[in-house]
Amino acid sequence: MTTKTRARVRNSGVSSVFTAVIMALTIAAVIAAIAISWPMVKSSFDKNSWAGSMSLYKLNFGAKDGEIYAYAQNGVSVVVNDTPGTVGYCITYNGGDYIYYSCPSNTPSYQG
Amino acid sequence: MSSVFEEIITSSMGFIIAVVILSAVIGGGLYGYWLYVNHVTLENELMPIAEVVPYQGGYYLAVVNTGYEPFTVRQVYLKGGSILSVDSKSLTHNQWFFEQTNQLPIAVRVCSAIDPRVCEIIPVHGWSVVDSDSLLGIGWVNMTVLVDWTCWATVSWAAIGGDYGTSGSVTVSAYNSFGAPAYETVSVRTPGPLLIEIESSNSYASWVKVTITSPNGQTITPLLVYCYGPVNAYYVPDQCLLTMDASETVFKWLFIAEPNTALTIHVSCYVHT
Repeated sequence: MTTKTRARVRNSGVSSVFTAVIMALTIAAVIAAIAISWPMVKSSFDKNSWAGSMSLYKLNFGAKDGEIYAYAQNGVSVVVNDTPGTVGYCITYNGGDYIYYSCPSNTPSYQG
Repeated sequence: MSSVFEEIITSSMGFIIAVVILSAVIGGGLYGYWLYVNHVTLENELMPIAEVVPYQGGYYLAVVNTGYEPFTVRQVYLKGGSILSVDSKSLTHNQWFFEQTNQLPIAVRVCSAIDPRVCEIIPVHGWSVVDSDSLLGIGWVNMTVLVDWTCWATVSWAAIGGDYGTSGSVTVSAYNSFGAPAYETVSVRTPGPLLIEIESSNSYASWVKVTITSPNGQTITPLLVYCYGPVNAYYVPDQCLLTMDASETVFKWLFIAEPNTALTIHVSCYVHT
C-alpha cells in the first residue's frame, strides 16, 4: 500500500465518524430544543385561553329587599356598597343614581 | 499552510477539535434559547388584570393577579402622559392592588417577582354603569288630575309591599272656578306598585264620573269603588250617581298603578239644570 492510499483510507474513516457525530449532535440538539420549548408552548396556550376567558368575564346585577347585589362569574355575590369593592375579578360601587363597575371584559379605558 | 497545521486539522486531533467546537456552539445556542424560553414563559405566566372606575372626582385603579406567578406593580401610565411610579408588594394569586389617581390610568406595568427583568405593560379596563332605579324596580308614576267645574278630587297614593315611605296626596278643586276645569300634575317616584285612591265629590249635582286613561292604552279597572250619597246612590261602571237630584255625591275609586306609567285622571261632573 502506498502512502497516498493509506491517507485516503484514513481520511474516509474519519469522515464517516465525523458524519455520525454530527448527526448525533443534531438529533440531540433538536430533541433538546423541543424539550426546552415545551414550557413556552404550553404557557402560550395557557395565556391564550386565559385571555379568551377574561374577554367574557362580566358582572350581573340584581336587587333584593331594596339592596343591590352584584353577581360574578365564579358564583360570588356581594351587596354593592358606596365604596369600591371587588367581586370575583371585577370592581364595583354604588354611586347613587348609577352603579359603576369594571370587569376584565370591559373595553380599555384609553378608548373611552 | 504549514504541514504541521494541516496534520492537526486532518488528523484525529483535528476531528476532536471540530467536535468540541461544534458542541460548544450547539450548547451555547441551546443555552441562549433556554434563557429566551424562560423569559417568554415567565412573561406568558403573568396574568394581571387592571380595572378603573371614576370615584370621588378622580379614579380608582385596581390590579389583580389572576394567575399563579407573583408580580409587583411598578408603573401606572396616566392619560395626561405622566407616569406614576408605584412599588406594590408582591401580589400572589387573587391578591389586589389599589390606587387612587387624579388622571385616568390607561396602562400599568407589572414585573415578575421571580425575575424582575420580565415585565409586561397591560391596558386598564374601563367602566360601565347600570341605572340603580331600574335594578331596584323604582320608577315614576306621572298623574294628571283634571277636575271639571263644580267638583273636587283628592288623589292619595302609597307604595305597596315595602317600607320605603312613598305616600302623599293632592287635592284639586274646581268648586268656584266659574266654569273652568282645574288640574294638577304630580310625579311620584316609587319602588313598587302604587295604591291610588281618588275621592271626588260634586257640590252642585248628583253625578260624578271618573275616567282614567294611560297613553299606552291600558284600561284601568278599580279594585274597589265606594259610591255614597244622602239618598240611594248607586254605581254603574266609572260613575257614581244618585237616583234623586241631590248634591254631595261622594265617589271613591281605588286602583293600582305600576311604576313607569303615565295616567290622566279625569273627574267629570255633570251639572243638572
